[in-house]
Amino acid sequence: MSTQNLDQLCAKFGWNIADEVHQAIGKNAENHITKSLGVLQEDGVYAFFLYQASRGQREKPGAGKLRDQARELLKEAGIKGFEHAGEPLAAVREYLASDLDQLLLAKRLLEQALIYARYHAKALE
Amino acid sequence: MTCQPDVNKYYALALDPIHVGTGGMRLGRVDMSIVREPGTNVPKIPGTSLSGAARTYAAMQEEGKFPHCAGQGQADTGRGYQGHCGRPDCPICVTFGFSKGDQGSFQGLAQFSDARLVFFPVHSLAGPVWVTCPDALKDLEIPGAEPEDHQVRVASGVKASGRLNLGWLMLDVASNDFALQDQVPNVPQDILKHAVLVSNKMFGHIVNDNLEVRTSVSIDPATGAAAERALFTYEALPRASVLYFEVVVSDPQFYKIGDKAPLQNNGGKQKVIKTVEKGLTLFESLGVGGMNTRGMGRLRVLNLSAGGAE
Repeated sequence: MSTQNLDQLCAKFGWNIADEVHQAIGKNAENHITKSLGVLQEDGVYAFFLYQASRGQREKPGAGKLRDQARELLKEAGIKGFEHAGEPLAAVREYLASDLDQLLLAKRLLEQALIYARYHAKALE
Repeated sequence: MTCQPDVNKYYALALDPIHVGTGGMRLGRVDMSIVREPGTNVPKIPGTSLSGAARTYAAMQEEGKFPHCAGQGQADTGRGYQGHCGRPDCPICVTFGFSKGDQGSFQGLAQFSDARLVFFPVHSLAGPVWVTCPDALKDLEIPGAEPEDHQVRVASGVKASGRLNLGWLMLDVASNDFALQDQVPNVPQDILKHAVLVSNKMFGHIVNDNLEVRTSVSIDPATGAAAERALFTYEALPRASVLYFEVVVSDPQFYKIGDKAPLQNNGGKQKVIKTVEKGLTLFESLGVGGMNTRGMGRLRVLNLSAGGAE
């Protein structure tokens, strides 16, 4: 059985998120990432993707980048429902939400990547 | 003559959110995160925080002991601070220890454990419930079967059948026979009637997803509005959390300060216990941890008059 360094995966996507969100919305990047992390932690994975979809004009470009990177992270980690990297809200609704272990792992991975992204974004400002 | 230390067990109820910070040595969602157990990631209050605050509060209530016996041991003549007195009849120095550099030191006869989380409040469709797990109850010597990760056992006061949500997580109600009323008499009955038992694995997830997170900002006096770049966030154990800790008290007759047994003519072991409890009494007013002037830190120790639970 092959092993996978999940922290490395989170670090890679953490950096990608910070870089892309910063390019898209500049100095609002850290604030948007931190708020997204709060939604993820308190309300769960579905709420996190929904939050990205609901952003207004100012944050929308960054929210789109964040959603895409989060989806790629879950795909690379082999999370159920994200194998084909489709629409993340549908993947959570139809597959992930019914498997508690996979759901908790996905949430933990996203949390770690967003924590790294938050600090990367601080450094970019 | 054999040594039989007293193990005094205390329950504490958070009257405010409690923030015992890591000092910025941890990356997280917030700028100021709180201390956690390494293995389980569950927040706790370190014994050092309890002991330090109890020492200061006990010294405040002993004639002539504050501030010298309350703080650090070394004297600071520039500030007129004499440091610990280190006398064998001083209840503060004997109970909490002293350090006088070349003039000797003593470890103190009261040993504080960390305060561990036992009941954690979470909102649910059935109203507020207090989550616990078999590992937390094991500390209280209460055995219990662990539910499956997707299941929860609830107490009689939780009006839920079928499924119960704990924050964003929805779990199956395995049974409504989770009864603790007689086993933890010091914890308010209302909390015990609304207790729910989850697996050890889920406990950490549920606690960390439901911590209190606050955002603060400095006010710019020129504009009266939030100062630019002065926003910061911090987390805390929420109000109504229940914690459990122990204070082990050694018998002074087994120790010597200089050539004298500590507290020989000043109450012995009972004086040590009384001194600890005097300090713990003020937790309810002055609190532990940080942000005490901003609505945080007050903690009521629930079974003080009993000298700790058996």
